[in-house]
Amino acid sequence: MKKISIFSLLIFSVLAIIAGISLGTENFSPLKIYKIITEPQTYPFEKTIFFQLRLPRVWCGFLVGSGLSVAGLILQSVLKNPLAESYTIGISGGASLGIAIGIISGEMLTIPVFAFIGSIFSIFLLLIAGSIKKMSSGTLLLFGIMLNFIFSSFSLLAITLLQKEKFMEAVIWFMGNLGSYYPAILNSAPFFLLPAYFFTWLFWKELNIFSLGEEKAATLGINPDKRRYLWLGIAGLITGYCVSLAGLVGFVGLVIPHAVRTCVGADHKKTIPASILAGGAFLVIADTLARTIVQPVEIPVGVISGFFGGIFFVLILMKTSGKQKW
Amino acid sequence: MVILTFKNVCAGYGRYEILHNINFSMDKGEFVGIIGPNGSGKSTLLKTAAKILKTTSGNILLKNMDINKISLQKFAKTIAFLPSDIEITYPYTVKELLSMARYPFTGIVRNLSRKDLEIIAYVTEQMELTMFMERTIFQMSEGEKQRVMLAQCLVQEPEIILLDEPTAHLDIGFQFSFLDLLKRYQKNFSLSILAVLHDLNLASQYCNKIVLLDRGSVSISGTPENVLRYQILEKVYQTSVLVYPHPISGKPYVFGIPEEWKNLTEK
Repeated sequence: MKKISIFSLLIFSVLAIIAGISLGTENFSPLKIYKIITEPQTYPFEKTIFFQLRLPRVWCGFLVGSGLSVAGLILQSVLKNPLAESYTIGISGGASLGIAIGIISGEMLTIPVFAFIGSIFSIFLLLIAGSIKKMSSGTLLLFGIMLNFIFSSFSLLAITLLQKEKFMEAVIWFMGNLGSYYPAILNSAPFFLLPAYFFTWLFWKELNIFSLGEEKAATLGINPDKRRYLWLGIAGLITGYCVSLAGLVGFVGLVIPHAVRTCVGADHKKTIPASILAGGAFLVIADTLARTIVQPVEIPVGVISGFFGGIFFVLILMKTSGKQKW
Repeated sequence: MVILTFKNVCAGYGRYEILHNINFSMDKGEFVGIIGPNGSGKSTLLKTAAKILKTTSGNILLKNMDINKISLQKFAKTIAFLPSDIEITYPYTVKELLSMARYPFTGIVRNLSRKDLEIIAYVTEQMELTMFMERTIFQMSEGEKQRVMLAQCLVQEPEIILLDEPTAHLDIGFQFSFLDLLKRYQKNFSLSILAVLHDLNLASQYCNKIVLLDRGSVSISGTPENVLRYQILEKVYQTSVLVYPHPISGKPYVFGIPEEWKNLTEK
């Protein structure tokens, strides 16, 4: 397959962001956006929509999309399993439990805070279980999937028993939605996420070697037992932040790393920046569709990303199967 | 000069002890083959030497230094390991795979230096991989893939290379060219080779020394002529065999005998 450069992914992301900030219930042409930015006093109404709603939402989409993709990439490499991602490893289960607790308690900010705590909690359980029993990557993945089932069943049970009238709110969080973020969290997110991306990229060689398997990693000077948990922790923190912003946006973390590998190859020097760009752009586009496809109804972004992303991924699979194993 | 010594090594997984009191040593520049029936602990032995599996008692000495006292990174500059059935999950190119093996030397941040690139270029030329550099590993045959994995080990510039059944899935042509390459490195750079080999005859043709394992203990070790004797093999492998010298090399050659011909041998 013809390779796509990181530069073209960058252009793609810029286009996605422009589409994201232009389209909505109120469409702005690029020229209008330029005018809103340069002479805001002339367009007070548009200014509010643009700066208070559109721009932060697109930014939120980009951060969540890139975060989930990077976390997925880390997990796929460290566990040497192409099916690994934040949600198959059990983080979403813990997060959904956190969301359920937040919704039931009904206080401001409790949903994102508990979602974050829930994600970290499930990663923590995984790390403890893994280090006590010295699990292999495959067992660790299965353990994560089981954690997921247990936690999500429990959170659905809690919601239906305790707060049936808030079931819709819970569904929106469980499906992932970029409209219900809390500004305080969005404002603090770049200060955590961007250094985390940089740290991950700094260790691209280590992730390359890790993805050859633990035996190869050990004989190339990396202690797989210790470093595996460091990486699981980082992926957990990144996912926790994303979940507290947007709920459980599935699919991105699993598929974007695969799509990126067909574009730029497997080398992490390239796949890490490419995942950031492609993941961010993908979610911004998905959210733009979610906002505009059936106006004025807003569809949870997870539905769009799953539907269109799924079709897109099936097409890639059809095109590359036989030539490439995942 | 002795480069690697096993001293009363015991090891295993969890409560199961697989290796019992292993003692043997290997000289610099020697090609040592580990043979033995399935489940006799060959791979386990190799993993303890690669520092992947901890010994439960006893010591492994690398040039008189206990390997537990050597840091992983320093260890990686001396010993390279080729696991059996290594599967590359993601579409790396040959060039990327070979560059990874310089990690013990470059560390996290440093780019490949001119010296690193020269080593990679030298190995690719020796292994006849130069034309494959930009190919991904998925586009190569099993034999070529195994050659890439060996090249990756050699780029590490090891003094000792550990190989776990390196020729298991190769046809006879690739088997011999693979072992010939190793032999060339052994002669030219006095590379020490410790290889688990399933095929007794390959072991006999290529190894200076053979260690025969039986249920986790060394049954006998020595030259191919000393180890590959039918009295010993029949006892360890529980089957009847014939051993004749190879018509050209003169090394012992082991023939298995199917059941329908067995009564003929008794006569």
